[in-house]
Amino acid sequence: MAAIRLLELLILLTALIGFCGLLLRKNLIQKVLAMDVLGSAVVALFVLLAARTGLRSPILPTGDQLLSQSLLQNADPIPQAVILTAIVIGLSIQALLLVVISRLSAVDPCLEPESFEE
Amino acid sequence: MSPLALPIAALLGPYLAAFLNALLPSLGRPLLLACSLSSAGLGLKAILSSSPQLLAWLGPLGVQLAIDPLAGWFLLLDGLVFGAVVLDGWSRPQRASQLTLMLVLLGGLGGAAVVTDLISLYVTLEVISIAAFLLILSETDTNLWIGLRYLLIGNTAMTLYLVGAALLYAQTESFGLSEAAALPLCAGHVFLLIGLFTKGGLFLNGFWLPATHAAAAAPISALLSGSVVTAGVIPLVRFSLLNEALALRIGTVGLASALLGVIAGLICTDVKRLLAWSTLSQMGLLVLMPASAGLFGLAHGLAKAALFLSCRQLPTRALDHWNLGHCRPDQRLAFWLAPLSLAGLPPLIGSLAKTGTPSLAGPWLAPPAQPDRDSGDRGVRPSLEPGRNNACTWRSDPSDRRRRPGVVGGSGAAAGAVMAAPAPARLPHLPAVALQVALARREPGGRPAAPSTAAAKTPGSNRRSQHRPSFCA
Repeated sequence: MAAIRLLELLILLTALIGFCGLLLRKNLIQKVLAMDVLGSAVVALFVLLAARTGLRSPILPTGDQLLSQSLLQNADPIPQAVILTAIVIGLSIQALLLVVISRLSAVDPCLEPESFEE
Repeated sequence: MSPLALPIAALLGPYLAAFLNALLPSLGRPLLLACSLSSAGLGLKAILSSSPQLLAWLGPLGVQLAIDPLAGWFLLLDGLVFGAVVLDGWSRPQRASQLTLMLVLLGGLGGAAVVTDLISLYVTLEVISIAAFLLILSETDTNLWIGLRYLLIGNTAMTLYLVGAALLYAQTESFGLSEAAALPLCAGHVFLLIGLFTKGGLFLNGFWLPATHAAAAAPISALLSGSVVTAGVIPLVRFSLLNEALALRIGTVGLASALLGVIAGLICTDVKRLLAWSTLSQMGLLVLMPASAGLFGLAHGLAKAALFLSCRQLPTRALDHWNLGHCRPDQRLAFWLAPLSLAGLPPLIGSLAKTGTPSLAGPWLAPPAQPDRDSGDRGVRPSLEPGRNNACTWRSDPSDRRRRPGVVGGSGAAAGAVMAAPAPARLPHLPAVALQVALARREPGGRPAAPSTAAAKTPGSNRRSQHRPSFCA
């Protein structure tokens, strides 16, 4: 259990680093990269959450006799299924952000937010 | 045909219509109108039905939707606002892609109103976020940075929301809203609320809102301010109804948001920005009174959408040159009716929302289990106390008093009653006052008001202080 606790702390630290980068970095590309770090930390958090019950992929074996034993060591499928959706959404949002940033770079190649504020 | 077919068709319809619209662009407007009508119809049915309708898919671990009266109010609001926007733009040329995005947005909003678990809520909020972002960008190129900021802030907030959902799942083994609300206050709730406050435009988390809503084109602003922003507020209302401790925290932030919106609205000089600040403060009031949030959201959304759509008729957005002389009488009527409804003038819908809804409309307005939960622990919900209507007339007409000091004597008694009322009872009127003050800074002859805000306010405050003794007497 201690290992899981330690991993959880590290993951939350990564999320904090991503969040701080998002706030403190001036360059828009760096902001989006920091957001990606934050998103990856959340994905890791959900994977860790799923691993609390076991490490095996939650796929039922074909033989019935193994069912009762292997169920105990399976990972929790719900957080895994949930985070799959979140990964897809995060990816599409990043793609949209990068498209807009590439168009903004025509205005200011340095991509500093101050130059876009009115 | 099962009784569930109609709700499913109404919730799924916009997405199917969006696909159809991409194939047959000429059908866009009728499809959007039909979808908004069906959403409004589903909302009305949910409001009028006695018991909430539950749709469960895929067993206990699957998705459950609840079409209850609270969701009904917001479904009705979405349908009406989208219908108004499509009718308003019927004679103007409109790109098919924009209509597709509006259909997706309508589908997302309908979903956000009825979901009961954290992850479905996350998905619908992100769908709304992306559709709104593309809609903001679809009008002009100058809004690139505003749109980018909207999506960046929204996605960061939703990522924090996911952290909160994960932390809550670790304790409850479930993503359900009711299970999450049943826990005592913990770190997961904090992350969850930070995300939802940001999406709902509340207090400091809502600082992105005024610039975004002011920069978008008129119909987009109407959609954003009228119904999109409520998508983040509905789950907050649900949390408030389920958990007292959470209701207290959410209510505190809502109160701060109401004050912040009014104060910022008083000093801004752009009419669309003023309306957006008013949205921020009204969202604060909405979470403050969860029991009547549905009707309040409907009243606010309709008035705000009407105001944003009417703003297109103005020659200039600067409040210093406020002039309705160019508008037709019916447009002028919209400019007067909508703010008066927000202020709560009795025959209009806004006053229904403010004067203790349960007594007016029977059991289907308030959730039966918690009829008066919020008035008990905070005492900020407006109630039907004597003198409240006086407060309303006095509060909603400060400019008259400023211009014609003779009126002050007549309303002195009413003003005294207001001063005597406990302070929290007066708070819900503040945003209405802001709007009224700003809209009424026009002089009677249609001349523009004084050039700067400070100059316009100083004589008024002097006069007010001269007459202060008569209030106290």
